[in-house]
Amino acid sequence: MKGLEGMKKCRKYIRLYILFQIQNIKSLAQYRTDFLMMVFFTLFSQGCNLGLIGIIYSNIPEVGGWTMWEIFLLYGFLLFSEGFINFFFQGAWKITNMIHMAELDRFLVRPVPVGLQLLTAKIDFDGLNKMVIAAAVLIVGFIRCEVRWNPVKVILFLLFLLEACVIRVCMIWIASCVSFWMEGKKNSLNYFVISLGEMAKYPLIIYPPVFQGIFGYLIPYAFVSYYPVGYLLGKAETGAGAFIIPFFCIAMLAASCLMLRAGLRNYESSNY
Amino acid sequence: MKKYLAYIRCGFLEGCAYRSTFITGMLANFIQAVVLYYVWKSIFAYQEIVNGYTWEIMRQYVFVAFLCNSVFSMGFEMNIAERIVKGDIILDLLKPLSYRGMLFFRMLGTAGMEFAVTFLLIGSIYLAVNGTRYLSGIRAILFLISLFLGMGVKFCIQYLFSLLCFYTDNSYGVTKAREILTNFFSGALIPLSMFPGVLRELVRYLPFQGIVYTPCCVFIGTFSIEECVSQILLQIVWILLLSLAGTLFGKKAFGVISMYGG
Repeated sequence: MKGLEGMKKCRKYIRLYILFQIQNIKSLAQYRTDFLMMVFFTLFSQGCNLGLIGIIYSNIPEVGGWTMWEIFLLYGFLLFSEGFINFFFQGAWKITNMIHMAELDRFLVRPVPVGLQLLTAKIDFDGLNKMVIAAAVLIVGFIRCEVRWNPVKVILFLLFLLEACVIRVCMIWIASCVSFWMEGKKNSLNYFVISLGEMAKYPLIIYPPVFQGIFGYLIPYAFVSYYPVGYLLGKAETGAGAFIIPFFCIAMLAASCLMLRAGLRNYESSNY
Repeated sequence: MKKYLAYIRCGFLEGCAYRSTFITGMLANFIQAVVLYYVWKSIFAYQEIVNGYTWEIMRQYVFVAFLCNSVFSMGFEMNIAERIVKGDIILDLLKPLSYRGMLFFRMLGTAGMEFAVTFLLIGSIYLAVNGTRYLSGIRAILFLISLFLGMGVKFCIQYLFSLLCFYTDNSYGVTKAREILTNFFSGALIPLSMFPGVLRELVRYLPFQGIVYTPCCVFIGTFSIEECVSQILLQIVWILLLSLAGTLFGKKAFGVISMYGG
């Protein structure tokens, strides 16, 4: 009986999520030129980023045993998860601001979970664009790397991609939730976490052990790109890592929930 | 001149007040520098020389490039666009001093603060990694001149882009575009001489190289002294050209403001 009710609740929340997002999409129609400009700038900037990797590789054959297209796959995973956050869960970025402006009060009195409302507080169409670019990079990359596909691998690939997205949403979520304990308008922590993503563009093995530890476990970027891609490409050193990812996902989801709960308990509205 | 001095002070204080913005920006750049450091390190573990660069040169380049790039890093496009949208820009234009001069000296003040912090950080890392063996007096002086001129080039480019905001009202895209262009073509990420054929020729005729690549090469010694001087002269030429363009474009851009209030 309880399970059925849980499912009902789940369905309700998903429906609410979709409704909220549709509302967000409507608000975007207001800024049509902005949107077109962002499409252009995103294309341009991702082109430059890929170009940079291309230029490095025009001088050398490989980095840490990885060829150019293999690096592009890392990039594809990273970019896709970024686009995923931007499009589906951009609200995670807004927590700081909401706390500061006491906008959160509005959410607290509604009969909908605060987490759901926070996640849907904003939408960024740029994310869709990023996901398309990332998908293109991934497709071309996999063709170039001549990966031998079989049904299990396809499922694993989709699973890895999903896990990468979940891990990154949780990272930003946790970093943003720190704002509950911080005074002031700014929380640079989430920005810092995003900047660290730069590291995940290259294979983990090129970094010294200290950094490997940090990116492997403390801020688990290695599980966003390095382990999944390494596993799909059949790199020997990444086999074990790929199987820990689901546990990391669950741990991070749990941590995110706990952070929000503890944060809300600690929340005092400011006098705005 | 006294009015402008007041703006330098104002910029400096502003930089100190908004230090968290600066620090996050710097950290993001710094992470990129660290990543590039290890990428190059792993590359040089396989081969000794990449396109004329050895590991000794490269590991100086990464840090000096970071120093050049993070000074004057706070773009003012966002700020200006906000003022345009709000209508506050009119207050700036009405002041009895040149608009561009005001921006410049304010940025100079902020850059002073940024430079001090970055210099301490990078200086110590540089010394820890490379030691003092590559330093030379004359190059250090030329480097400072070139760095200062590089800031001038950067300012002119930012000014031109900020004028674009008069037309678009969208600061985010404009700022992003400018950041990417300068990062990519200034040599902040990799030395321009590693660019493949056509691109290499192209960057030679762009002003961006003056921001990072020229001061870097002056410092680490890939340019001979004569080359240093001629490249510094080139920076000056670019500053003159770009500020002329800024003046002309400014005249047009100020004409299109439409006020929503203020």
